[in-house]
Amino acid sequence: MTRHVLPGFRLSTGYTLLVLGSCVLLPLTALLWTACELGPAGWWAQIGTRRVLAALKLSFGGALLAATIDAVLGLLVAWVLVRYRFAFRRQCDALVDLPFALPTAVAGIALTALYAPNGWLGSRLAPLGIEVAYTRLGVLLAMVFVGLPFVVRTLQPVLESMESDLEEAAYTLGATSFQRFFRVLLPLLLPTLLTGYALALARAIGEYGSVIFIAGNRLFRTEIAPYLIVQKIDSQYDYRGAAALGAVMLAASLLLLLAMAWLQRWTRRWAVVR
Amino acid sequence: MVANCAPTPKDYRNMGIEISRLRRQFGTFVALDDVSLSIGDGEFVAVLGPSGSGKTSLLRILAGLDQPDSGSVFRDGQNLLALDARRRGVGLVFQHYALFPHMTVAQNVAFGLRVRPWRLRPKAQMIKTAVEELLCKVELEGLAGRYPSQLSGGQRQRVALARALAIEPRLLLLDEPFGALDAQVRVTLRGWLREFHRSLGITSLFVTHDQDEALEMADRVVVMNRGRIEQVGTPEQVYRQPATPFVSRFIARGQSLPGEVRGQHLHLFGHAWRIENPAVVDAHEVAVHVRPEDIVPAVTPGDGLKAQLLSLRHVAGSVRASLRVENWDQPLEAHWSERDWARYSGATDDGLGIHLQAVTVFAADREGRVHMRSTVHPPSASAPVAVGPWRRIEA
Repeated sequence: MTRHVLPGFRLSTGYTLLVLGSCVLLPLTALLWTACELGPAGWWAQIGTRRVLAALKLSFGGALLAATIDAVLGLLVAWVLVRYRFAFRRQCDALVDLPFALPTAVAGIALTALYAPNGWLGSRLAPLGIEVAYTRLGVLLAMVFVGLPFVVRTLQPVLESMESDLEEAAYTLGATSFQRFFRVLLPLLLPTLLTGYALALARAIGEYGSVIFIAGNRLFRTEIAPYLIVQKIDSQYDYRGAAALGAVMLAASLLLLLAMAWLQRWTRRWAVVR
Repeated sequence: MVANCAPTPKDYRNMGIEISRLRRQFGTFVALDDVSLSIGDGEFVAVLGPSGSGKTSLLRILAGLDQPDSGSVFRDGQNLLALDARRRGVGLVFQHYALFPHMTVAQNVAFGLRVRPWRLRPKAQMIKTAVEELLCKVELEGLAGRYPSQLSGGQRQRVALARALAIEPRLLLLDEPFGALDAQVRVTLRGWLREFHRSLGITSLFVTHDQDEALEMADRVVVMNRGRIEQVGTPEQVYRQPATPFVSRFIARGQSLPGEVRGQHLHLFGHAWRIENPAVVDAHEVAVHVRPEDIVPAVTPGDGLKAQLLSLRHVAGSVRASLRVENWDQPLEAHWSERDWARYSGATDDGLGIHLQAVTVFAADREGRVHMRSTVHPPSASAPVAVGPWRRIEA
């Protein structure tokens, strides 16, 4: 029998499985169970409607796009915060966490107030033909807002610990700053960037509070899937329908996260130890 | 031995490097203080010094990763400092190699060629050939497809070397080339790198804090201390004729003795010896050094300076003794060969007699600059002559 650093392997494993099972697996199983009560035809009747499909498309499409924007913006923010020293850097650093800390409804109301046609920014954008509030653009904006800290916070420690050796080596070998970034730094940051991307994506898919205010929830246009779930329960007491929609979201999220994990592994294929 | 696999020797177009009056300051810390040095074509120069002596700063300035506050570096009449690090044609091997972990060995080596502007970039096939040739030179042919994390320390070092050589540098810089290796590999690679340098003939400068490494490998050694060059010379020169007390201490493990210069004489442990060099006499400050191997046990008991044996260690063929000389509270280190020690071994609990075979006197002026150095051979310790049983028989 091999000796472990911590004693009580069986006890701790059992405890871990119990917590995971009761907190994660049990609710998910219940969700699937409820969804299954509908049967295939009933399930399709719930999912196959134009309204639901549009909402799913907006939720996943918006989240994918928002996470991509977050990845680019987050990399930029993390880079500036780590590599440059400027006035109020610490305050800026603290600001990054704000979307984390803010109750989502507050964030939603704040965004709506800002971008509404009579809001401070919205009133200035409207003459240019840009409508943010109550459009898909607004949904995207809210998703970007809540996902940004995930990318910044995952990248920061990696950027900080990255040694300048590699960049300098590339420099003396004749690489331009462009080549140093795209050939050396970015490939090394990619696995971490993907982690941040996956977190931002998960958050954006599940986001409810901050989105529904600015979305305006217009039929076929700005309804997100979580909003429909709440609607089904709230107005129709249709738990099975809500569960069916939930199961679809669950499956899609799971697939997305699996794909992310695989992609991340692929970008780290060089880190194998002999 | 270095493998001979290059079809034609590369023309590395070596030229001399002229470094003059470099100065670099970080805040109040002076990393380089008026450093001047010239490096000849194809020379293998070691910059030796303790940490913080400025040797890495010098290397970084030569590589273009840092700029000096003042001073100049010329290569064959061309101002090197005006060139961007990208265009300097200087190969730098980092202490921890700085290999790109996400690239294979072959990709690492090819990097310097792939990032060239497209007009100067060799064709893919040519890059492939060049990489194969370089990997063959550093004896890593079979490992082209591996990632750095799959290599041993010695292999990584050679990849870093091949990568730096790929750009056909005119000057090769190595930062503590063996610093991250274990002792066994280090010694093997030393000989290999010296041979390798000889086969390429490329002007090289390497930085180290290891005396043995510098003395064993380099054509010339530059000893640095606190941002200044203390001495430049061949390994033999810096050992035999150290210019300053620091060099004596650092290279030859010279130990200071409580000597004084009065009149024309060096007074030491109650003895006085005449100094031949008159300049030493009117020195502001005097340092007296003795090397561990210049302290020898007296042949006849009761002869020489009285010393107490504090400890004795036998280190593979040599004996290292720690001694306390009468009337001097600092212990002295002495190195003898095992054979000599067996011959003299007359040490008792009362102690043993020792002779100082050579004592070096450094005389410094008011600014602390050493202006004269003189080696005294105390006559009482006339070199012991082996009296063997062999005798020439006249016919």
